[in-house]
Amino acid sequence: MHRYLARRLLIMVPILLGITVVSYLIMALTPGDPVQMMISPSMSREDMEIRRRALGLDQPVHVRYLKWLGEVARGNLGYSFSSGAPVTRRVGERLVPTLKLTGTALLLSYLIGIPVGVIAATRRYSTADYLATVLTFLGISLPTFFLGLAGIYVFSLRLRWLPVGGTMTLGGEGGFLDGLLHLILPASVLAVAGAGAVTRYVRSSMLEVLGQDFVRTARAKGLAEALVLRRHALRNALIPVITIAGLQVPALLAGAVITEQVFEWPGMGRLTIEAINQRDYPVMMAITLITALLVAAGNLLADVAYAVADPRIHYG
Amino acid sequence: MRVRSWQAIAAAVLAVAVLLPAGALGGPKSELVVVAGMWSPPNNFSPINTDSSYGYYAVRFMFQGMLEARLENNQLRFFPALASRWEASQDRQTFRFTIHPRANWHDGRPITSADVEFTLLTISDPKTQTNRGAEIATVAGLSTGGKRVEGQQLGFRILGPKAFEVRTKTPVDPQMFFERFGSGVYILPKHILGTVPPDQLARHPFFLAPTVGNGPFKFVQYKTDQFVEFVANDAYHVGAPKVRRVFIRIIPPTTMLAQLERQDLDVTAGLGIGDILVEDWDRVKAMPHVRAVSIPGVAYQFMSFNFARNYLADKRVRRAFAHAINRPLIVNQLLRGEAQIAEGPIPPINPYFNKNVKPWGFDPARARALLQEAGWDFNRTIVLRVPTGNILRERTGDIIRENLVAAGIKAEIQKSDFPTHLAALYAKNYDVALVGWGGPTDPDVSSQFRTGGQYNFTFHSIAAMDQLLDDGVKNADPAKRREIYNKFQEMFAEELPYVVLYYAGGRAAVARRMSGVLYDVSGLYDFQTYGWVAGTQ
Amino acid sequence: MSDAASVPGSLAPARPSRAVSFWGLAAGRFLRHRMAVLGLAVMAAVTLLAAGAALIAPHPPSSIDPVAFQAAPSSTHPLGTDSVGRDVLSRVIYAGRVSLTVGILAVAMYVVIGTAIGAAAGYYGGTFDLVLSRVMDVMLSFPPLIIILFAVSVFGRPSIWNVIIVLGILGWPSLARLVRGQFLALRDLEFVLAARSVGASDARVVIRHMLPNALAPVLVAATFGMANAILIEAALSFLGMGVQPPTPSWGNMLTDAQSLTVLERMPWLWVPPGAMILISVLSINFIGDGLRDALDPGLRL
Repeated sequence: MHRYLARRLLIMVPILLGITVVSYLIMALTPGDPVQMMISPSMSREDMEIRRRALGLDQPVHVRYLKWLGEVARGNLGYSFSSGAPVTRRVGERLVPTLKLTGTALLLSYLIGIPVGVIAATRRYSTADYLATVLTFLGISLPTFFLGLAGIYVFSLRLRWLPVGGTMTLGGEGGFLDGLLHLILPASVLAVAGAGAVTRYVRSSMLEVLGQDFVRTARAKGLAEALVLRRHALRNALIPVITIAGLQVPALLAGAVITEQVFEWPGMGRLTIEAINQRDYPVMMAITLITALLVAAGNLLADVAYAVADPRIHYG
Repeated sequence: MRVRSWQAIAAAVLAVAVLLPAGALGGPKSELVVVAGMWSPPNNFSPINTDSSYGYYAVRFMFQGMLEARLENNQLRFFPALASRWEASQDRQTFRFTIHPRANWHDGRPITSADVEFTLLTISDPKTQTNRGAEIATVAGLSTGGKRVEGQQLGFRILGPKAFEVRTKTPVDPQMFFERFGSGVYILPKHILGTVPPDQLARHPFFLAPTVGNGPFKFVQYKTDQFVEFVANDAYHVGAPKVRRVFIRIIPPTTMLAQLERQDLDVTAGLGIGDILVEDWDRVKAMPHVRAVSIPGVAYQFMSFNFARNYLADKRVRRAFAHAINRPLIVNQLLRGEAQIAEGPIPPINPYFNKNVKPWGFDPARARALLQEAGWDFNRTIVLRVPTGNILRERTGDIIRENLVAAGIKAEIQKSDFPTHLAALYAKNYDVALVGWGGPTDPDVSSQFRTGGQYNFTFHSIAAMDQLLDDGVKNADPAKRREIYNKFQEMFAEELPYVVLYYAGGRAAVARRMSGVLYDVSGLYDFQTYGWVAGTQ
Repeated sequence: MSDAASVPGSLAPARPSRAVSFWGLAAGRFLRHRMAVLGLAVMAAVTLLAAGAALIAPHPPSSIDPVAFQAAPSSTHPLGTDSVGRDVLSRVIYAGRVSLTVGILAVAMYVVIGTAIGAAAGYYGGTFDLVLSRVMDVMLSFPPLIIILFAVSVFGRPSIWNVIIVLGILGWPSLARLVRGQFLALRDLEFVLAARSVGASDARVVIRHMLPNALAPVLVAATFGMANAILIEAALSFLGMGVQPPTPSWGNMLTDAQSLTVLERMPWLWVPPGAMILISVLSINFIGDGLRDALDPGLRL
């Protein structure tokens, strides 16, 4: 396992490098230009040329990339084209709110998804199972912006229980309770799709595992049903759930564009879209880099978790 | 004993007060606090370089120029901002300003002519990243792009600590100068930024939290993607604002209605950066605590023709397109009447608007006849490029496509995100495209319609039009300019580089508890914010 | 219920050796799965509706009624009109063409690629797995939006096939990871070892013995992927990829519902497309359940 881990970590370096090269290229080849689109009647042609030079866009792509790489190697992610702020600041100020939102949503989706999935599997084709199925698919058949709007309509406009958006009351002191009130709606909307997915995965792999020999054996031995479920079935049913969780690690920081937009949440999703819409290359590159790191980390964690959940899994 | 129980009670009260969320105590809703709403966050707060209208909306609470320009009853009028007096010389080439004697920076230092000079030098420095170059392009000693030219004397003279004059290269229409230099150039604090090298300015942290400004409100904080908070500048030179605190909240178009209904929001930012959705408009009108105000617009949506495509170079073809498009339908049904139809790039509420230019009527039969006359290939498929982001414009695209098809023109829509759309335009890679534009009140539109103009995306080159545009800029006499631009508008309708689709009106909402909001000012935002009064609901 | 058909005691790897009886039995089991049959019937109906749209729809899908924008249902427009005066019923019928094609083909594409690669990685393990897994990591690392914008410029003219290809390319790595995880867990189980020890080829072991046991999460991913693809298609059109207006799709019809007023007072703008997506995805889900049960009798309670 140690050697395996070392190998995995070592191989990450060239891969990350490769990812940055390709991303940089793709970005440069994507139509749209960070200066072109700053058109305004107040901006003169010379203003544009000055901007182009100042941002280094008059240089060929490979030169720009190498410069960027050199700076990154020294720990400098550069400055945002559109705001002039250090990229680390633009990303940094969104890290905690993003984690708060997506973390809560993920937690909710597992807290809801696993028990509902187990119930749906053990009482297959019961009313409860069908109800869970229909609700799950209802949640994913409507776009997030719509669910968000519906949530606002019901809880903020009609019932007036929850604020419409933001992370804190304007002019307020913030505080835990205030933060929680603001978090409930966006996190729930985000959790709807996630909980649905977890439910389905747990249900289907539970069904699978419940049909296998060792569970039958355990039952035959007269073990209590609950114990069978917990000790044997659930544990083995978790493999796909672990994979999904591993795949969701990058999502923790990638944020959720639509939810963030609807709920005025300062998240990485909005930053990503904003950076792409403004062709803000340094910010885009920083986000790619973070994503790549998290994808690698998430999948590594998943691989380790497989081995823990199922001792038979080993990596040769 | 007694004292002790008092202490206990006080402690308990204190504990409850601390534990209660601020919102539970009534929140910010009071006569001292106003919440404005706009759709997107500002990039930064640079008075010379923030990229978007959103940025400038926020900037203008904190920074001002010499004057405030406003369109009222087809007239451009000027109001004092930092200046208390301003005048043009007889020859219309020298412009004198007197800064208000009590006009100070937020840190108490006086605003002086040296600050204005510093601002001018900064914007015109070839190393400064700015988007204000065009505003100062007429000043002597500067290039057509508003940059310093070596060996030339800058047309700026300090007359006293609070007085200065600006000289232009040639005589210019004073209205144009006062609009562009007077209201388009926000003054920077020399004592804060004077030592920053121009090429470092764009990254200077000051522009992310400008604690020293000169406007009626002072910067408090910017909560990323959520709100900007200002507090009244009590030392403002014409008196302290009546509103203590202003928040600009970043609210997506879809939830503005909910925020208004909950009374979380007092003022929408305005045309194009904080409007009410067309669908929600009737509901806002029906809200008892809100005034719904339709604002006539100065920005227009248009369909541009790519003259580099030879099949679009015949003006009969372009006229056919204009006849084919059902603009009344777009305005009356899609925009519910909240827009005006006009034929040219000068808005109907502009002093230079030529009302004698007749719009091309909706007439599919005439369109077909014109196409036949021009030898149009009815098997040709043209691509209508539509940028995404403005849902009304996208829907307009759907209607136009059906109209063109009905007139016998095969048309396909190609949507793309705005940067891709613009790249296609710059690269001459399109047939017809939808875009929107809004310029200053001054009618000089050379950058779009002159041969080789910076924003000439139609790539047309019409010698007579160039001549008119050049004459219009050179001429300093408003009466003569009016004649010239009347002719230009007639020629524009004749040549049709664009089919101007509509001048969209703004749909603004203002809480009834507020007064002093200049919501009926055409198109330009209200920046006499020191005059805002917020009563209790 | 279909449980009546279960064969108690049959072991996971044990399956009938004769193909004919296997498929015959499978079909029989599928047909006893009531929800699956219902799902199949609904899908058939929706598909027929979309295919015969020209005959069924009361109006051409893009024709504009100049006097009825966002109009409530009436006799002329049984489901009302959309934001530019087009008949919602006609559009919802036509929209099935794009949405079902994209939903089914895009998912089919990435399920096939993802399953093949994931199975190979999980089955062989070692360096082979390491390499394939890193390829997946790389694919998952690029922000999808940038890939899409880039692809738009590469493809040039938009078409429905671009959407399918792009969704396929973006979708396979997650699926491959899912399958790989399953295979890692399966490859040392007794029945797999047994199959290997009797000299079964790799292909046979993978396809006949392991794949059926790894399929459950794939089916879940596929049904979710379909709903996703139908919604994402609209976002892609928005970026200039895939079907362009006025061609309707359920996804792009739903983009009309971006206002509280529409949500509350104009349900005809969002209920029909939303309902179509829901019943299609539910049907596919039940068909998937039925298929899995039918093909894998050993895995039932």
